[in-house]
Amino acid sequence: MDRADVDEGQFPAGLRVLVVDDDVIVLRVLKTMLLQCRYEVTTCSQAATALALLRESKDTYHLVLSDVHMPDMDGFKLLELVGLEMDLPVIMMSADARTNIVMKGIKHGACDYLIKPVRMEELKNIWQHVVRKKWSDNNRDLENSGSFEESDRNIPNNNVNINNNTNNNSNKRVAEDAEYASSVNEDGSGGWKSSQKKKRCTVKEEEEGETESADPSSSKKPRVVWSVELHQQFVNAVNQLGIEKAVPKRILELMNVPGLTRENVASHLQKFRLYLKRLSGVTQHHPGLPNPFCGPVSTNIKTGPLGRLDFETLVASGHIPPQALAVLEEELLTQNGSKQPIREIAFGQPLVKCGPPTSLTRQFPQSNLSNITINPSLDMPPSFSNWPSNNDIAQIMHQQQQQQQQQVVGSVGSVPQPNASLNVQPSCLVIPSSQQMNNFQVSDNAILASQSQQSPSQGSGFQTGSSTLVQSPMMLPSQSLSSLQGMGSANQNFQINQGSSIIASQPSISGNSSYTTVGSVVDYNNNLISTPKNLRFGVGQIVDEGLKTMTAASNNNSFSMPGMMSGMMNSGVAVSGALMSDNNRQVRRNNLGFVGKGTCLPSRFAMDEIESPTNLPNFSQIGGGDLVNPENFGLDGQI
Amino acid sequence: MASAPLKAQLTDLLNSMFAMDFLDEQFKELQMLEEASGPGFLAEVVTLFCGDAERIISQLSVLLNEPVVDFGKVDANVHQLKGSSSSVGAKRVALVCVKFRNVCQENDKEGCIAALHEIRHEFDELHKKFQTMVQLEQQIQVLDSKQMN
Repeated sequence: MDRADVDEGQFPAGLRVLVVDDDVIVLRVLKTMLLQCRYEVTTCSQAATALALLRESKDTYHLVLSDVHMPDMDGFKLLELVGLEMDLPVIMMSADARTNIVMKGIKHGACDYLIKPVRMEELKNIWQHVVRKKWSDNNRDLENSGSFEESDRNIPNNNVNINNNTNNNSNKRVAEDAEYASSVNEDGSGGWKSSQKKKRCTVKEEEEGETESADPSSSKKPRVVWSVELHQQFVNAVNQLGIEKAVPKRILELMNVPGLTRENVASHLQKFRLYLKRLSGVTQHHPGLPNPFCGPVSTNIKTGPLGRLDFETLVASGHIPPQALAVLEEELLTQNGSKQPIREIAFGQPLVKCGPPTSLTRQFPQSNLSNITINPSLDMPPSFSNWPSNNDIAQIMHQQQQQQQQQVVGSVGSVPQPNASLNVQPSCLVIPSSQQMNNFQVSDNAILASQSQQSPSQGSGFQTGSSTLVQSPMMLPSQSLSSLQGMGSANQNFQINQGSSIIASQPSISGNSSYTTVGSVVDYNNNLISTPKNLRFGVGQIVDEGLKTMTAASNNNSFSMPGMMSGMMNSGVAVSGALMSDNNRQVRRNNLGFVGKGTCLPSRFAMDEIESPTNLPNFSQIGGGDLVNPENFGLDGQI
Repeated sequence: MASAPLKAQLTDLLNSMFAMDFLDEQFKELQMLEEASGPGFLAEVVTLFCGDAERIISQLSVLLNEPVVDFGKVDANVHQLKGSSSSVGAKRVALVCVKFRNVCQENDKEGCIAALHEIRHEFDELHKKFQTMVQLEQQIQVLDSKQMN
């Protein structure tokens, strides 16, 4: 346990739980029960929103409680994503007690599976999962690592300087100590907070020794936290090696992160593979994996020094303004020696492929083009979930290409499409989160999904090393990730979702206040959610009902909009309680979320019932301090 | 205490509901929560549930009236109703939901329609009782707060 935890004496009070369920009644009941347990509760009726919340600030929650059957995303999928991206314990719930379903939950990595109706006693015990996980991770790291020394702590890696925790910028032990101390002081439930904070530190930071073991130099190494930056590096390495050739040892070498062990990488790789597999339906051994995964760039696009640029992601994330993309492409082409002119990089329009067909093109009937058609329409077959690392994207793209050749993307303005023969056709724009940003693995596919470059706001959390992609497009070719960081400002627009949010590319999106969600433009400023009610399968309705009832019953939420979202938006739901003083912001933030599995679900983002924990005085202090920072919201609408 | 008779009435009502299985243990949990978290919780949850159930039942009706029934959707709705009813402790409704799901999975339209009727019936009864309960509670609260003032 954390020192703080022990000192606190309140443990497990203050455990921060995120509850996701489409049934408002269940949410209401659970919330009350959890509050009774003295936990801090946030409820969400949509998986997409939940993911957005989680991505926004990974430190914010300790545990996720999720329903299995949800209209916008399969609970198991959410489970996987959370496990992969945030590595939080997830407890599944369902009225469905069939053994095979329960088994499925366990297989997907659920820490526990509760049958509804959930009783208080069961909830009282959920903290065990958090503790158990933390400890076992620590132990695992302990056994595995052994070389990670404090001295490496301050190595200025990409991830080191990145601030994906609110205030947790420094890798320096001193700073961290200070933070730790201050965080403990700030947060009433310091135990949880500090443990959480630590959890999100980068590997280096964690080396500080402020771990459960409380012994910095002991052989007990804190568990490796796969921060966004770290994950980006990982993905880069994997892409470079090629997904099929990516072995932990080599990945480790490529990543060159001090203190990281082969075992850490191996286990992460395993998860990652599962994730990809589910995403794309392609097995790890799929022979058809496109080149992007392979280290060596296909002849097609020699990204050259550019290395892996996942333009698509970049663009998708809006990090690369269309113009920049064009420039970028040019650079790329030049660099690659490809003499092909850059075709117009129109979103959704085929580009002339430069160079010989890559494996990608092989797979796709359309011959030369890197039809990067990003389809804002969200019918991306595999759920283009928020976590499109390069690999994912490539995979997805392949699939998509096969499926939908020339889907024109509703585009967000011009999306420069790299001439790689990569046809990206995600149905949704993926807004890479910081993770994505770093994953510019272009190999031969530079698919740029243009994104609405929204919110200039920079989520601090978003700042991954490679966040600034757009800024210096010219640099792209020559750089690897770091240059990509130019995205900087653009990047931060999407900060909210550290993962990538899938954004329907809509023309309206470019860098303005409206954040386009899948298929619909969500203009946060106006709290307009144009999602038709019926799009929401049940959920919206429920929410509506719920909202109405609630309103009738006791709340004074002003539901200005017919859609649930509006209601939600206007209600004082603060996701993290106190943090969101600005409902708009919150809403936006939430809406930015991730289009869940359906991806194409229009504006599911809308803020559904996100209720703040009732008593979160210090919520802001928590790693989620970002929440208070408007910039973190990305789509601030104030772009 | 002015509210005493009302309280007695409420108690009787609840007892009978328990006895007849309209409500089960889960509801008792909710009652305990109300004690701990303050009045209004039960009323809120119950009202939420009623609204939700009403909606689902209507939806089911629509679905079952289609020429070609989408059993998947029917099942999903029933599942949802089952979840909410069990969360509030509406035992009988939840039980009928289980039956409903079974026939649904067999794609038995007639069976579904019959089950829907049953749900409708159970829910209507429960709904009335819940309404009474909420009213009583409100009245009691009013009286009690007056008394305190």
